[in-house]
Amino acid sequence: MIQENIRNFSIIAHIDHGKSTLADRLLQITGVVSERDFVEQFLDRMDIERERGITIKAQTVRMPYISRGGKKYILNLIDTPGHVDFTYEVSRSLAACEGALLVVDASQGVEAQTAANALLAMENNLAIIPVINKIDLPGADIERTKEEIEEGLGIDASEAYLISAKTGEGVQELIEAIIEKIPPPSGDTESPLRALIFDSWYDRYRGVCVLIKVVEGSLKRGDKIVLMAGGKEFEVEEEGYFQPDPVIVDRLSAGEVGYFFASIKDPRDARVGDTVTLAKKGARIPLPGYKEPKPVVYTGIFPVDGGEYERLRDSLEKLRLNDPSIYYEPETSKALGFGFRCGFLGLLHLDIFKERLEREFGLGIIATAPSVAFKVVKKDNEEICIKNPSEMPPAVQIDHIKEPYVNAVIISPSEYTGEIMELCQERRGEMKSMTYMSPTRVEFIYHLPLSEIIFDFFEQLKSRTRGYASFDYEVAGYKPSDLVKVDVLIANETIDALSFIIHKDKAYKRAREIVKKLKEIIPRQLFEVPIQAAIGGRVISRENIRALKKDVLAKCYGGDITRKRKLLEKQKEGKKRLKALGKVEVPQEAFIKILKV
Amino acid sequence: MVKLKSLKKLLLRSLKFDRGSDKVSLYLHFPFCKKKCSYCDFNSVSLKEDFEKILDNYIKIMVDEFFNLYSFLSESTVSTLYSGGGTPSYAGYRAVSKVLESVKSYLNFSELREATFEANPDNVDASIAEGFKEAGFNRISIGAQSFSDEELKTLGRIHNASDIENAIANAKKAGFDNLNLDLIYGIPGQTVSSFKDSLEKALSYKPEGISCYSLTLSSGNLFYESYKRGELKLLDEGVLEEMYRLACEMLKAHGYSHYEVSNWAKPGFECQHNIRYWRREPYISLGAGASSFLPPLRFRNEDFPINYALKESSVELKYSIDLVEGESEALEKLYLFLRTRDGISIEDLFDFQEKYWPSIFDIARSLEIMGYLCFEGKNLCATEEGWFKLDRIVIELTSGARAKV
Repeated sequence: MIQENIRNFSIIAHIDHGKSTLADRLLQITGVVSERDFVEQFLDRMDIERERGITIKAQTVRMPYISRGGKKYILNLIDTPGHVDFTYEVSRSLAACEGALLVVDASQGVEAQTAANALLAMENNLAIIPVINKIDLPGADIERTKEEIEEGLGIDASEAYLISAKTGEGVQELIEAIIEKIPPPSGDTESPLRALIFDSWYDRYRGVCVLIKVVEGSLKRGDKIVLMAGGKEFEVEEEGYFQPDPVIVDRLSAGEVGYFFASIKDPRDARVGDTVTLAKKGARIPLPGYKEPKPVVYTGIFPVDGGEYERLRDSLEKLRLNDPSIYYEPETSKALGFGFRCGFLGLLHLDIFKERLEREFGLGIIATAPSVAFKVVKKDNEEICIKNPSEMPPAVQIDHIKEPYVNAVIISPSEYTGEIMELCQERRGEMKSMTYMSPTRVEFIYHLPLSEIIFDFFEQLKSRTRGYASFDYEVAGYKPSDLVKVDVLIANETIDALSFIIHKDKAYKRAREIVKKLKEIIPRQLFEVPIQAAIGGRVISRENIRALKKDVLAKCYGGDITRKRKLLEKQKEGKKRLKALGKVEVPQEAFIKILKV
Repeated sequence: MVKLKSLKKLLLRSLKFDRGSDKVSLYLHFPFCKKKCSYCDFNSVSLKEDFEKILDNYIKIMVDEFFNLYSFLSESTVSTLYSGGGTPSYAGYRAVSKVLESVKSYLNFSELREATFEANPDNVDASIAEGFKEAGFNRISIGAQSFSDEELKTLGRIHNASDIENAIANAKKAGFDNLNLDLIYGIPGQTVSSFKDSLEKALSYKPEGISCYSLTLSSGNLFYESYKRGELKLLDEGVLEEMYRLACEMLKAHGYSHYEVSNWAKPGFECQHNIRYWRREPYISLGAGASSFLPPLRFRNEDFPINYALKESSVELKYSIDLVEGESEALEKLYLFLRTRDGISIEDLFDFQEKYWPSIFDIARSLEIMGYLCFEGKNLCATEEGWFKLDRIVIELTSGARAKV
């Protein structure tokens, strides 16, 4: 296939704006998936993806197409995750494309994720085709949507394609537009091989499956290759493309997108962003790679049953094979035993990860409240990264602390302007801009501390705007901040799993909340239990749990000992499920509740 | 649930009872009352019509149960006898002695040390007291509960404070020189000072024993129902604790020894029958829903009093059984023995440590520091503070978890 007839493109859209439906329709129209085999949202293969209606991992599919002009084309659809937690994956996918379809729901208009992903596409110099979807819905407002694309995204919307992915209306024209408006790839097929690894995953039977876009040259079966970052050599055993099932070919040339297996056992050898070249007569300069994403949200993950530690570790390793952006290291907690400190690109990333651990590996896990990675600059100028409040150095050594900030995009009907500004102010936000995309819709850009949005921000935003606002963010560096570490003491013992780092102005309120919550859920003990929150040695909040009182003085009826023993045996059973918080024991469920405060 | 004949086979197979050397206690259950009290969750009923007829048949089945089930115990030595309820005094001494007469010649009563009957203050008249005395009883336990008429009314009792006084007088007149008074604390509306009044009043009669039970709600009693509906306000736990401490102090000051969680007695007058329950000595019971223990089996027939009385023969009775072995046995020993003043032997604890609860000594030591337990000679005992929270202490001891100070 000559390059002239290849089109590599992605679809970018806000969640629920119809990206997957459009992909399905394309597969159907090009005949790649027959009506009979059609499972809705074909590209979303993971259960969680299908249930949540989002894409997590990039997928690719090759579609043959004969244009109205009678020419044969190959259309490579490279799917992108819709959520910015996965910006990293989006940018990877986009780097393999020459163009993107920007899909906007005609009744919803431009939303925060649309904006974030459109910017990424622009950064990658892609040809962007605006698409207005769901025009068959009664609430569709095409003119307003066009206005928002123009005003909000700065993209010429006059030629936006109007479609209904659901009914198929306008999709044929859209495919013609892909051919017409997206440029073909342009790499030289005669140059030494340079192929960009834009995804890889581990296959239990075959080793690592490497997803590539051949930028220059070509790759044949049996070729001896080098992965340039690590310099390791492998031999290509199988190559091909997805349609959407794998189709084996002998050669992939410049402009083509496909996969190969080369008996790579260690996924770290096939790093995403690396360049593949030939062992002999290879290229000397690698393609520009990706910046590796840095986790910004951290949480402790512990097995509910301590005996499952090994299995948890194996599961983490397996998940990381498919998602190298996950970070983890062993962690021990006095309260929770052995577990791992895990880092994620964002909250959704973390959520999905937890769900996969539970669902795919059947593990019972306890996750501590998520926290962000702070940076502490010590008096000796050393800068350390604090992934866990317990790593905080003593106050005397600290010069200042920095916390990560995000640029948040919030798009909402203009009537909620007041509510949004109030919320962002409560969360220590600083407004960067406020733009009317249309007379009724407004876009805010806020500079917000990440730590302020990981607790309940999105929920609050939704409830204060009756679900109309959309929100997206991108991590935007560190800034010094007036932060303190708050320790929680139960019966005068610091409970490491409950320590947190917070802005000084908010420490008292949150300390009070936690202490109160603990008082509610810790069962009474044989002794009085003080619960305290403290900054350094200074107690800022305190409650007491009164000691357990009588429980035995009832009359033992007619020598009926059995009833009493059964009662004790039942209580004993209950006690086995308790977690020790220092001297105090609380039911497992209660403990999880505290961690979620 | 097993039928009487199967139970008998099980007993014969597993029994560790030696008729020559082991002693047994006998309990006679008369689960009839004039009126069921609001706090009562015992297996008892109030009857009016047909009482005589039902009682007659009830007695017949009791005797029948004895001969059918316990024939293998014939000539065993009975060490204590106890008749409770319900209200044995309401059933009358004739009914009780009728059962006794029937079984007497098959058991050896020559070493009987103590024979108690429970009585309601409203029906201990001179003839009843004398009747029980004649039937061989030497100890009377009167359910006084409180000396405040208002509190008695709250409890749903049919007697008043002056009934108690009469009952005591009649019992003494009939020659009872071992008298126990039951008191209840935690009655809705009760105060520390009204409880103190009741204690003082009780002490003024110089009974040989006093029991103080904390009011307990359990599903099945009227109090529980009205508590659930929000109509009943229970006393604050702090107040209950104060009442318990008050009882401990006052009774000690009057020379009573605290020999079990809820029981006090003048030295030498501790209730031998109950002590045998707590020390896991064998006992057999006759009557509806009464529990028996012939190691290693605990069992009880599962019948309501009326159903029991309506049986043609005791072979129709069905029993629930509980084989107490291994860790269950250890747990039972621990919580029963710790109820008593003597506590549990360190030898037993070593055995438990080895077999079931490796950290029991460590935990016991920390509970000792907290003042709930104490090692005395060869035994581990609960303190008065410990008794107040004994359930939790037993769970701490047996769960292997930490209980540091």
